[in-house]
Amino acid sequence: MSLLAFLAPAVAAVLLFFTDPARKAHIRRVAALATGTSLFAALAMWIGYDTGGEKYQFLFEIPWVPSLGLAFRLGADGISVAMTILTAVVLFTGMFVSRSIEDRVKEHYILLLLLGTGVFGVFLSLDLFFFYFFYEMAVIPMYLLIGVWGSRAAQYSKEYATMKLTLYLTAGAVLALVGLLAVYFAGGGTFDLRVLEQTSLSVAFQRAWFPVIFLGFACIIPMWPLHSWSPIGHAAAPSAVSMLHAGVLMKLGAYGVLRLGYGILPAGAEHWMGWVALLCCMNILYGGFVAMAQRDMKFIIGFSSSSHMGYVLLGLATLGVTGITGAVFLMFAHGIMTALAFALIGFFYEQTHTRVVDDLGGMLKQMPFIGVCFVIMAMASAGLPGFANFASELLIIVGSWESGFSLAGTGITVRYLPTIAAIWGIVISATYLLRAVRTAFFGPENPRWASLKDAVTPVQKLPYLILAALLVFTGCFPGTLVETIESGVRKLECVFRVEEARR
Amino acid sequence: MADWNILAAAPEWILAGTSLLLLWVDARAHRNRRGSPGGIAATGVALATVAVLVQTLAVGAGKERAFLGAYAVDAFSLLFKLLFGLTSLLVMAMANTWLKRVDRGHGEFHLLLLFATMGMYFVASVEDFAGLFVSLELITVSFYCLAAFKRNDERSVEAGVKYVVLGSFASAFLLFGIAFLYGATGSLRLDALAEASHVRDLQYGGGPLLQFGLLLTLVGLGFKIAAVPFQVWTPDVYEGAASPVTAFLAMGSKAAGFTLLLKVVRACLGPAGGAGLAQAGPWIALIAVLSAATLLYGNLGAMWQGNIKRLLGYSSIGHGGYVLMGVFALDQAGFAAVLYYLLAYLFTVLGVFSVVVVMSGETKSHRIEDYAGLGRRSPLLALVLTCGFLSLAGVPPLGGFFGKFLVFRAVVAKGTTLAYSLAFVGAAGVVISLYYYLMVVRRIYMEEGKSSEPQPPIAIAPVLRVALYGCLTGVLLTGIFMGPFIGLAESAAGAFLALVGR
Repeated sequence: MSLLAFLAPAVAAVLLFFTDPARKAHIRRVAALATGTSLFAALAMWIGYDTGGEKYQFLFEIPWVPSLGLAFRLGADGISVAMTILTAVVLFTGMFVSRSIEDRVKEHYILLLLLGTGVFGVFLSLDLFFFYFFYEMAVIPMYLLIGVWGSRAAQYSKEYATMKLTLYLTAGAVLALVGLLAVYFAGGGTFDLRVLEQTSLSVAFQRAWFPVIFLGFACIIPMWPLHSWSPIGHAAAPSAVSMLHAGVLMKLGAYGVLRLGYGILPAGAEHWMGWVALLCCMNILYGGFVAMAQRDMKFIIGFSSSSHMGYVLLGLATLGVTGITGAVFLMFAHGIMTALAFALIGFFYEQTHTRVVDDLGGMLKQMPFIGVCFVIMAMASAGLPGFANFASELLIIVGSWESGFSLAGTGITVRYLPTIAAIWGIVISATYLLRAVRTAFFGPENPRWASLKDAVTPVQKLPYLILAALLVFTGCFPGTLVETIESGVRKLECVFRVEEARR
Repeated sequence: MADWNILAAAPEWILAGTSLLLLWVDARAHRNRRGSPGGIAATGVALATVAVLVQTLAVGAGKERAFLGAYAVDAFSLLFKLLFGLTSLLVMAMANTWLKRVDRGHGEFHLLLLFATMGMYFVASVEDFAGLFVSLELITVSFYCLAAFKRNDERSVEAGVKYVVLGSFASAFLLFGIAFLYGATGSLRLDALAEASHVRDLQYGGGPLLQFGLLLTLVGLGFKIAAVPFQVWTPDVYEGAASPVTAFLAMGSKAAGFTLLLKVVRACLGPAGGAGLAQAGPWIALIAVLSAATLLYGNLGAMWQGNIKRLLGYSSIGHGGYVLMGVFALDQAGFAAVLYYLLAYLFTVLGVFSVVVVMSGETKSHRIEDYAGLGRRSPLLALVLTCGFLSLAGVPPLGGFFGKFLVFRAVVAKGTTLAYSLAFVGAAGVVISLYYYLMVVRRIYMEEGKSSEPQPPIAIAPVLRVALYGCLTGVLLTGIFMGPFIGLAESAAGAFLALVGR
C-alpha cells in the first residue's frame, strides 16, 4: 500500500511526459486518477494500520546501493499514516482545483505530481538517504510552479517570492544533510532508520548535532525568525500550489524533526526543546499579530499558518504523548483547513482579481456555497469546537500545561508561560479570521461583484466538500485518527523516557 | 619487470593512427569537401572507446604495465579514458553544428580535438613525471590553438593569448616542481615519490626539497583545474573560445588535470599501507583551504554574470572546488566520489553546452537574457538546460546530486572539525549556486521573448539531438540508478589505491 501511494503520482508524471500537450482533458483525467489511487491507498493504510502492532507497517524494501548501506525502504507508523492521508487528500483535491489552469497544462500537472511523489516519499521513507532525496525533490518543483503559474503578492513579484522560498528551504536542507551524514557515520554507516533508532548514540553527540538537524528543518516549519519566505510564497503561488505548500510541504519540517530529531537523537531533543517552546511563542503571537495587520486574504492565511505552526512546535516541545499527539493531529487538521482556505481564495480570486479584504464585500449573496465553506474554514481555523483544529489545539494546550520547559544552559524551567501565549493566540486568530469573514462575505455589498458565479457543478464543488467534510468528521470523531497517531507517538524513544520520568 | 608491452596502449595507437589519417586526408582533400573530417575523427574515437571497453574486460581488477613501467593500464585509467572518449564524441557532435557557421579549417579543428583527446588518454595512464609533463603539454598546446580558433574574432584571439601566457607560466612552475622532485627522489617515477614521501623518511634531509617540489607541482596542476588562486584565466577563456572548445575545456581538460592531481596525491599517500606526506596536517589543511576558496570564489563570482559562458566558467571553478573536497578525503570513498562527480558532470555540462551551441547560432550572442522564452520556443532545449543546471546545483533525482552527496559523505566521514567546516562551506556553496542557476531557469520559463510574435521553433541537427537525449538520459541515470556507476567508481578507486609500485 505504501508503495502504491508513492508510485501512482510518479508513474502518472512519467506517462504525462509522453502525452501530447494539447490533450488537456486527458491530462487532467490521468492526474486525477493517479492521485485518486494514492488517496485510496492512503485510506487503505488508515484502515489497515494495526495500532497494537509493530512500529513500522506496510514495509517494502529493495536494495539500491549495497556498498553504501543504501536501500529503498518504505514503511509507515501512525504519524506517517496521518501525514499520508493528509497528502493524498490535498493532492487529490488540488488536482480538481487546478482545473482552472489553462497555460502549459501538461507541465503544471507533471510538476504537481512530482511534488506529490516527493512528499509521499518523505513521509513513507525509512531510509535517511531517500528521506533527504525526496525532501529536496519536493522543494524544487515548487520553484517552477510558483514562478510560472503564480501571481504577484502585494509588493513582491512572484519571481522574488519563489526564489526566496527555494533558497530558504534549500539552505535548511543542506544544513540538515551535513547533520544527517554525521548521524550516518555515528550510527555505523547505515541509512536504515530502523537500525539508527535502535542505535544509542552518545549523549554529547546527540546534543551537538540535534540543533543542526533541527535548524535545517526549522526553515520549512517555518519557525520564527526563519519564517519570512512562507507568507510571500503562499501568496504568490497558484491555488493548488498554495494548498500543497501550506497544507503539506510545511509539515515536512515538523515531520523531519519528529522522525529524525526525536527518533534518532532523543537526548538532543530533550536537551534543546525547552528553548523551542520559548521561540514558538513568538511564532504564535507574532504570526497572529502580523496576520491581524494584513489586508490581502492570502497573507492573512499565510501568517496565520506560521502562527499555527507555533502550536505544532509547542506540542513537540512538550515531549509528552498528549502534546506530540496533539501536534501531529494539528498538522493534519491545519493541512486540511489551510488547503480549503487557499482553494476558496483561489476560487473567488479568479473572478475578482483582488484578494484585498476591503475591496471585497457581501459576496455571500453571489456565492453561497463558497461563502459557507469559507465560514466553516474560518471557524475551524479559529479553533471552534466541532472541528479537528479544536481537538488538536486542546491536546497541545493540555500537554503543555502539564510540562515544564527547561532551558538548556541556564538552569531555568519555564512553566505555564507558553501555554498562556497559546491560549491568547486563539483569541488573536479569532479576531482576524472573523473580521475577514465579516468584511468579505457579509458587510455591505460591493456592486462590482454583482456578477460573481458560485461553484455549481459537482466537479467544482467536490474538492471543497471533501475538505470541509473531513474537517468536521475528524473534529466530531477524532477517535480513530488520534489513536493511530498516538500509537506512533508512544513508540518514540524520548517520549517513552519522558513519560516514565513523569510517572 | 615490465617490458614494452606496446599493445596495452592500443586505444592510443588507434587515436594516433586516426590523427595521421586525418592529416593525410585533409591535406589531399579539396576545399569544398566538408563533413568527412568529423566522420573520421568520430570513428577513430569510437574505435578507441571500444578498445578501452575490451581492455576493461581483459584487465579486470589487475594492472597492466607498458613502456618499461612508465605506463599503466588499470580500472582507474580505463574509466578515465572512457570519460575522455565520451567527452570527445559529444564535443564532436557539438562541433558538427558549430562548424556549419565556420567555412574553413574543419580538418584542423578535428585534428586538434584528436590530439587533445590523445593527450588525455596518455594522462590517464602515465606513471612518471616526464610522461606527465609531455602529455599535459599535448593537451594544453592543442587547447591554445583551439581557444584562438575563431581567428577573426577578437575575443577568441584574446582567449588564446591569455591561455598561452598564463598556461606556459603554469607549465614552467610544473617543470620546476618536477625538477625538485627529481632532485629529492632521484627518479621521475611516481612510485619513487610514493616511497620517498613516506613520513618516516621525511625526518631526514629530503623533506624540504620534496615538499617545495610538491608545492610547485601543485601550482602547475592548480592552473589546469582552475583552483583558486590560479583561476583567473577561466572566465575569459571560456567566454572567448568557441562553445564546443569551451565544453571540451570544461570537462576534458579539467578532468585531465584532476587525473594528474589524483595521481600525485596518491603517490604522496606513501606506499600501500604506509602513512604518507599527504596525511600530514599542513597538506590536508592546504587542500581544505584550496577547496573552500575555490568553491566560494566560483559560486560567488557566477552570481553576477550576464553571459552564459562566463557563468559556466565561474560555475566550473566552483565545481572544481567540490571535486577538491573529494580529494581532501584522501581515501577510497573520496576518490570514488571524485570519479562519480566527474562522470555526472560530464553528462550535465556537455548537455548544457550542447544547448549553448544551438542557442549561440540562433541568437548570435551568449547573453542570458536571450534565453527568455526558450521554454515555449524549444521544450527540448529548455528541458535539457533546466535539468543540466539543476543537476549542477545538486538537485535530486539528477546525477549532480549524487556526486555532491558522495563528496559530502567522504568529507563528513573524516569527522574532524576541519572536515565539518569544509562541509558547511560546501553546503553554503550549494545554496549560492542554486541562486544563479535558477536565475537562468527563470529566464527560460518565466519570461517571454522580446519580440511579440511567436518565434519559429529552433532547428536542431540530428547528431546534436542524439547528443542532447544522450546527456539527458545520462543525467537521469546517474541520479536515479546509481548502483552500477558507483560500482564502477568504487572499483576504479580501489584499484587506484591498492596497486602502487607493483
